[in-house]
Amino acid sequence: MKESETLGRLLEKAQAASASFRKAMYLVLLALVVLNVFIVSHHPHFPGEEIPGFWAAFGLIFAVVMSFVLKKIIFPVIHRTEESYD
Amino acid sequence: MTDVSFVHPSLAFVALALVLPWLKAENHAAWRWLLLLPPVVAIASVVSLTLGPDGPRMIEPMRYLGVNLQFGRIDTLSLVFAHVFAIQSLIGMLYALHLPERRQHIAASLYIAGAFGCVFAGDYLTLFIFWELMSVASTCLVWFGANDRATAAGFRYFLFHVLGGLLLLAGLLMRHQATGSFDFMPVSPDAARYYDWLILAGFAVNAAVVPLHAWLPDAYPESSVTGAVFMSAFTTKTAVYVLARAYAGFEILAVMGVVMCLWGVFYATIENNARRILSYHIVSQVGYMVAGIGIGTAMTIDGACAHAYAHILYKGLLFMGAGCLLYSAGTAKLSELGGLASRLPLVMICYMVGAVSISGMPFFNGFVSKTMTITGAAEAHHTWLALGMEIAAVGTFLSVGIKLPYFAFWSKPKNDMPLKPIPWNMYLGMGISSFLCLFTGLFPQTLYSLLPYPTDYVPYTPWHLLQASLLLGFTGLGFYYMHKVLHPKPGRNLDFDVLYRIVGRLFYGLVSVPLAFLDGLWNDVYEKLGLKGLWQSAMATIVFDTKGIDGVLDGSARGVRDFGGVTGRLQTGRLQDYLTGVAALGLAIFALVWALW
Repeated sequence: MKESETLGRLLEKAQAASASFRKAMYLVLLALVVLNVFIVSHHPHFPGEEIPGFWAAFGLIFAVVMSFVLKKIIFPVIHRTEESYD
Repeated sequence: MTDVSFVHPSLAFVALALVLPWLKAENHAAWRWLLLLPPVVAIASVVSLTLGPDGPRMIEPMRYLGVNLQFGRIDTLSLVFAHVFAIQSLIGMLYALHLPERRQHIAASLYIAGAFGCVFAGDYLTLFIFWELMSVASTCLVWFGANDRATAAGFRYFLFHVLGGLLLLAGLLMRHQATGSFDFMPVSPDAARYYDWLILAGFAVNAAVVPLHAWLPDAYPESSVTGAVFMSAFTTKTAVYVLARAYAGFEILAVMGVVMCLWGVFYATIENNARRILSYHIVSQVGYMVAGIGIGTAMTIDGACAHAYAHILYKGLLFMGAGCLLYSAGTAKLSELGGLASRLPLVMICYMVGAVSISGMPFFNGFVSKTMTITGAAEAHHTWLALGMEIAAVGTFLSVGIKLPYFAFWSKPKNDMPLKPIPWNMYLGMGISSFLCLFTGLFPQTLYSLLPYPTDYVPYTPWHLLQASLLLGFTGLGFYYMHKVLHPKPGRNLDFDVLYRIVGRLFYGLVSVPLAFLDGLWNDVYEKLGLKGLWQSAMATIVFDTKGIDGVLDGSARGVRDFGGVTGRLQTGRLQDYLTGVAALGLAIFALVWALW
């Protein structure tokens, strides 16, 4: 089956406009944190969960720490070539 | 109670597997529609099944070799798994419809038949039969990846599943010895005996519980494009079903489940092969289910079943997307892909539906099942376990939700690599999966109504929506900052299979070095002492015979030998000599009788 070229061109345009998307995403993230001031957990399951921005910090910190520790520290130790298993 | 009869879905799949060898590969255009028949029968059969007034129903057991085999136990737990198995079998067969290779379809049919057999099995013996059928058929699906690497991975896969099967067999036989029954019923954590633990270990192999998981990311990436779609659905989820059936509330499962959640995402974050990343995510996602079962409250068991249901749909979809990349571009390695979004936009969109579903984005099915398990864990006061699952959720979105599609579809300018056109049926399979991921996400009651325990969990509260959006949004921001660090590199990473290899080599070494040495030593001793002794005793016997015994018997033996020599010479072997002899003898007897009468 042949894929639609119109859709492809649309995606190419979107990729070219990635800078604007980035700005929009920052605004969305900011809006989410602001919302968090008004909407909070009524039954916090974790200590600190009631603080606005807790889950934002949780996601950001763990994403950065996991990427760094795994790729920069663990990966060089356990990485092998594809052929090493043959 | 035995008041129900139904068309066992396994029958339809076994029938297909028996018919296929008689069809010709060149008539594929005609017989391919047959492939869809068993899944349709399965869906009709499962949808028409209802519970009895007292709940569970049993079909009449079949008597075989002096034991009762219970092929049909129908209750809420078996129904929810059978339901999604039936749907996924249709999607998988659709995705494989273009293949003229009959062996692929035969292996897939038998594999699905095994999965249905396990889900409806009412006793351990029936379970074991179908368990092994799955293991053999799925090994074939790995081998049909059809290259040297797939062959080797298939052998490793099979070896590991033989181990799991043997643990299960040993456990169920010892259990029978001790209790006198093969009943497949829940085990109380306080009353578990050694045989229950053996069975649990056998189940843990198929559930890919760390550290028994390394067969999965080793074999699945090597299996055939369509085979991986089936495998991602049935083996581990059948194991989740049997764990939920017999081992709910086992604390060790709760802890190991969370270890699986984290282990899977850690490896997925640094892997290069798209199908291996997805395989590690099976370990991770099955971890949520195992943890839910281990915690063992009504809500977490519901969460585990709901997550299994959702997972089969979105993981199948992800494997179909990665399979399309492999089929079309000839590789699933992120380091060789990139810049394909504008050339394979539909594949990208379908993949993204799977990616946001697995990440638990609101309005997709992962959201309604994953939050249920995590909330259940937190409400059961397993705060640390729930926290571990949240960290795994970050890692899931990081690796499968953003990293994989970013490096496969974007990251580079438009890629000009040659692409093979993808058959329509593969798109249709992905389309149906995408629809179902969104549908069950938007209408969670359709899924919740199938669960074993009644639930009043409401996923769509403002707080749940905001919490999920914050978590995923800021994980995305984390990726944006770290995307250069996460750039994929060719190769693969050591896992627990290193340990399996060490154990294997030790065993091999034990056989080849000390045992071979002992064998050699024994040979030497035998040659030097045993053989020589025998030889000399034989010589002594000869001397004793000729000189000793013969002397005593006054040369009679020598006489017999000489007589033997003469008669030997008389026996010429010629017919006329014998006839002459017989005639002479007859004449002599006649003369004697005449003279004496």
